[in-house]
Amino acid sequence: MLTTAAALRGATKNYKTFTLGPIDLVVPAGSILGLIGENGAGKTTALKLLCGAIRPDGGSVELLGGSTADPAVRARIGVVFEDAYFPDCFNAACVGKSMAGIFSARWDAAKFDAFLQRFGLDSSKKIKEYSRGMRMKLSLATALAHDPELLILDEATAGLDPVVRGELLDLLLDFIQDEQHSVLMSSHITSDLEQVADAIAYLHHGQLLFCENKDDLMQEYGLLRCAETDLDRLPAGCAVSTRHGAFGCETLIKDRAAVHAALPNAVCDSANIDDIMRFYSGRDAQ
Amino acid sequence: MKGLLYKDVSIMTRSFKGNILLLVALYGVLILVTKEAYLAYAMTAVWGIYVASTINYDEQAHWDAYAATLPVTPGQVIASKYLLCAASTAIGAALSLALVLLAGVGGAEYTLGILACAEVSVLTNALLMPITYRFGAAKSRAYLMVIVFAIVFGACFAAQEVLQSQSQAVSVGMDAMFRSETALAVAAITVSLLATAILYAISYTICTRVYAKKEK
Repeated sequence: MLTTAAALRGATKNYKTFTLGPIDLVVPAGSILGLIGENGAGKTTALKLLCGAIRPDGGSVELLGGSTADPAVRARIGVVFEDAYFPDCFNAACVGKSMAGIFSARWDAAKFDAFLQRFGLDSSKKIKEYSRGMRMKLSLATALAHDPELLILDEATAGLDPVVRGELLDLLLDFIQDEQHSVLMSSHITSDLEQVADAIAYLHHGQLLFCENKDDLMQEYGLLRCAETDLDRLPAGCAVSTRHGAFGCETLIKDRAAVHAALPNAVCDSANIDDIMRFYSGRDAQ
Repeated sequence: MKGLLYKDVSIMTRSFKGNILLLVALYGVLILVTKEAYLAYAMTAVWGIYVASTINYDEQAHWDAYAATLPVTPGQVIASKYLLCAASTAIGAALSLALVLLAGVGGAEYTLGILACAEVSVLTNALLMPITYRFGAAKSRAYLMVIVFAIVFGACFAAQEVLQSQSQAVSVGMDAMFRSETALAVAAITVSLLATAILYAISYTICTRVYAKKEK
């Protein structure tokens, strides 16, 4: 049984104006890993490396115990990019027939049709007449219809209404129940990740800042509100970034227990993923 | 592979259906009315070009990035295009032949003319496909024009030079080798078909390498 669904090991990718890595990122089997980061942080590049759409310039990529270059390994993944990458003149029925020929025995036409029905997609309507949300649903139906072991989703919930997003998140939770299936998803809607992810990886300017268990992350990080003079009493390395205001300051801290011990009377609420991102990106701006 | 072929055939039938029907109807009527075989030659050449246009659709849809995540090899993606191009040209040639026969202007000369046009169409695609994958659909047409002009004018210039200097020797040699016009024709057709097939295979190999190295 695989313990690692996918992994980047010292992987780098160089572009003219951007470099990803070197990064080490592991997607454990049977879990949902959420990938967060600002626009241009390298999330899509990392996902493309992991699904074989691009090759690394350095390091290596492991996918389901094999190589991304092996078509038999790629047959076991389902990928959803930020839009449906099918010709506009196609309809869902065309996509289904084409994929049936590509995936052969793995393709489950009945399952594909069931997803189309569940998502309310008219299979005879041209893709160019679909809304963005409908195109994402079609991509999802396509990615799920061959029973992949690993789902790689790049901003898959963007453009979906809250009801469908909720359905999708339930679907992902069902998907990993047997601990054989795994999900790697990037999203700017961090509340979605807070709902379903087991771990969160944060990419920042092409570097992996952390990859931690979500519950530990929520437990560990906090927003401290105190006077500036109190900050000197914080243990070393606790303060990530501070925002100064007229009535004091707000600081993203790591290790809430240590902060509570140092400043027992200060207000220190738990930080959500948005807070963590805002403060980390703010740290660089300072 | 079956799925890739289905995808490309679907793009052609869904996007170019009206265009193809118009082409067949227009050329068909013109051939039947005017009994001019050159229209059949033109129709044969045009049929093969449609396949290269499917690459344009792939580019617009970012299909190649998606295909890289599917259980298909670069060789299969390219083979689908090359197979379809050969099949499409064959259909165009068969249709053209049927039309010239219907018009009552058929014969060995016209059949060979259509065959030659089919070869030109195949060779044009053999040039166009690797260029398109290397430089993109928009730039490739301009590059193709430059290459075709260079080849045509280069060949004309070279032929003129050779014929001027060796016309006597060539003529004597040819006469010795080929005792009849039929033998010459059969040899020429065989050589040209073989050359076309070899060039097409070389083009496929180059195109597959270009596609495999391309950032999707």
